[in-house]
Amino acid sequence: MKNRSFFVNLSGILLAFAIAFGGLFAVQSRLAEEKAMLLSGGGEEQVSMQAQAGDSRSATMVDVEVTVADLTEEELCQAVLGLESASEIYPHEPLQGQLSMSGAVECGMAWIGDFFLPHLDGMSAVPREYRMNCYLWAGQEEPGSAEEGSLPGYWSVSFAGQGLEAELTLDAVTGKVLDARVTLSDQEGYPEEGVLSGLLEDYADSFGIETSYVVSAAQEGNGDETIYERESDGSRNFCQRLESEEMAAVLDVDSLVSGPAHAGGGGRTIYFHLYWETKAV
Amino acid sequence: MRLFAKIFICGTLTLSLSFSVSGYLLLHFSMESSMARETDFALKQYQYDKFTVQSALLTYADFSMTVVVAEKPIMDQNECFTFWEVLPEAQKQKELPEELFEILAEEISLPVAFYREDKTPLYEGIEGLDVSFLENLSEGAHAYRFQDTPEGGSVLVGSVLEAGGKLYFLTQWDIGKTLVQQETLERYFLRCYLIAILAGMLLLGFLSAFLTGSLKRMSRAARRMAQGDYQERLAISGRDEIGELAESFNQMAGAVEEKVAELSRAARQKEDFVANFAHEMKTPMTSIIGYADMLYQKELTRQQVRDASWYIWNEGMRLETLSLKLMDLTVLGRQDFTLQEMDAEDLFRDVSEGLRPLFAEKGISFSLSADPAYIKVEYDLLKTLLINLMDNSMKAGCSRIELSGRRLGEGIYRIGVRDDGCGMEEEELSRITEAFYMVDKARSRKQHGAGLGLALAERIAGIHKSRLTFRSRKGMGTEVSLEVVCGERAEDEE
Repeated sequence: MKNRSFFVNLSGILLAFAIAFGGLFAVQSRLAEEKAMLLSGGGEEQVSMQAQAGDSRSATMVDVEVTVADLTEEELCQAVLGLESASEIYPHEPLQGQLSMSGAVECGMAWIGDFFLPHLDGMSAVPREYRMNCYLWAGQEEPGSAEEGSLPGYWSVSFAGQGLEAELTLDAVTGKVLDARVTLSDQEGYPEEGVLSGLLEDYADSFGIETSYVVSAAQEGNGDETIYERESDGSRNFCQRLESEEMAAVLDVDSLVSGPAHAGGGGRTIYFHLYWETKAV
Repeated sequence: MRLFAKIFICGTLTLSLSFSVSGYLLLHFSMESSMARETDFALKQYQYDKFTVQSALLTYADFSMTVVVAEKPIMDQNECFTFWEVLPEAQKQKELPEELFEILAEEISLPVAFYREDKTPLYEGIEGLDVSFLENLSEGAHAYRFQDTPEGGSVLVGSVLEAGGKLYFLTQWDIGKTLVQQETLERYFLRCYLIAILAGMLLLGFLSAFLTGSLKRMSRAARRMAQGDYQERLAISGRDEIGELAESFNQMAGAVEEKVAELSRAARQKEDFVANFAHEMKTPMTSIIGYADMLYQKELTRQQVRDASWYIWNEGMRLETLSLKLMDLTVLGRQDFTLQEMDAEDLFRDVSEGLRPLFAEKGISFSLSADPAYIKVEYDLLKTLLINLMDNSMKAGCSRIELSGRRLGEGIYRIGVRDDGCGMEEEELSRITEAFYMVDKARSRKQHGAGLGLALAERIAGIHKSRLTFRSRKGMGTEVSLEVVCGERAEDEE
């Protein structure tokens, strides 16, 4: 009887050990099984892209006719504020109503060739061959989480060719250039003030906002120094502000021309940076 | 199975289940989160790479076209922008050179692969690619799949590009480091689990031993009690259930000890009673038998016959007294008595009147001194008690007996009987109420005493919720008193 009791108790204690180590083994086995299932193709899924505009994801186009549309004042405000506040960018396929890649490239090239370069008295021309890279992004995690068409998306378009480098940020729906950095490496000297004033006035006109405005020289030290380069070799920094006194909100555009000591080894870089500022009437 | 083993098993089961389930959930969630994060990175990077590929295809300088902006050509044919044309006839004539994809693959940091529409490779930079993955690719979605690689694992992402026909574009995002981190986490969990479970089992062992140790001590104490050690007690520590059990055990042990002592006393008393009774019976029976035998056997003179007859009568009287007193004792032990209020003076007068002839015969002076009061008594029993007390006084050879009654405070009435008889030694006082006990046996038997009078009186005092108090000095006399409750009529009269 005593022996039987001893064996029963010993069996119980051994059972306890078996339970303890059995639990460990079970966890290990289960996790290994899950990992094997995942890596053997078990984790396949599809992430659908949003509905596209006409010539959507295609890298081709057929008789494309691109007209850079106008933004309303409110849309312009939203686009600029979205650009200013974007902390993390999320690339995505073009959504319904947004330009395709080819459309964005066309708008960008049109802005450079049709608007920017002619103001410089035809000093430069668009190179025949160039490398291009662009991508569409939004300033939030998941574009599909917002309403279609209401997302502030942007095309970042980069061109690199002989004598010309440009980085443009376009509104994804209308193709309007909201930010630009253009480097002309085969030019020396500074454009005249009148040239840049005219450039700013025409740039303001291009948005189609009906208001009267003035172009004035900005004070030194104005603007965000992390945006504009200031050379220490005495090169001139030129800022102009576009300002309206009749509206509750105004449009400011600053431009800065850097000197010959540009990081690219020579040439001038002109920055367009658009930002929105409210002003009391 | 012993309680120790049961506690150990249940505790281990609980510990093991808790650790296993929580550890599994934690690791599973960690794995899922990591894979979700890697998938997000892979998809994001794929989108960038896809834009790079599309940009490159768009600017492939072998094709050109005219862009019409605002219904006016912005430049003439010689200075047009170069774009990739998608005119159907151009598409049929031109095909993308494979070198283009090699260059693209170099530009993209991840391993990539390009396949034609018929799933023949244009460029294969991904090792171990399962071509069946291409079946799931479509233009409307980016598909991804996890796959095992020698480095640990990777995420394959792919979709269909439209580039003069369908083009499959895939990238491979390495997740080996994440899997290694996950494995490290699992190993760490296993180590923690082992340590925790072993420590837990050790703790359980001590806890089981501690709990069952207290129970074992109780078991040993109970066994010792069963063997007769009724003074066994447990040291009580703590206010938990074990402490309560120990306290209950001690209470039970105390009650058992008391009961055993009481039973022992009762058994001893019964033994003494029977022994004394047998002895008291034996003595007169011996005399009776002896004298009867003498009368039967021998020729006696008249005087001898009378003497023998007298002895037989005398012993017979003693036996009768003995049996009557025994009967009274027995009756007293079995009946419930109701106390009633009565005038103390009336009671005392009744008693004294009944004994007056005897007092006169023996030349005993009797005095009565009682405070007026109503007392709650059983008349016959108290009368018997007082008669017994005064009978003892007479047997003690007194010349004077005083019966007194005094009202004390708080509704108590003291009744006392004092004599100037032979008195008793101090050490005799504790035993004189025992049945059959006689201070002077010879004197008592001569007066037909059975040694039961004071036992009877003590029993009667107990019925009145009181007890007899003795004060005596050898040669000086004895005083016996008891206290009874005054009735309500006494309080009203006050």
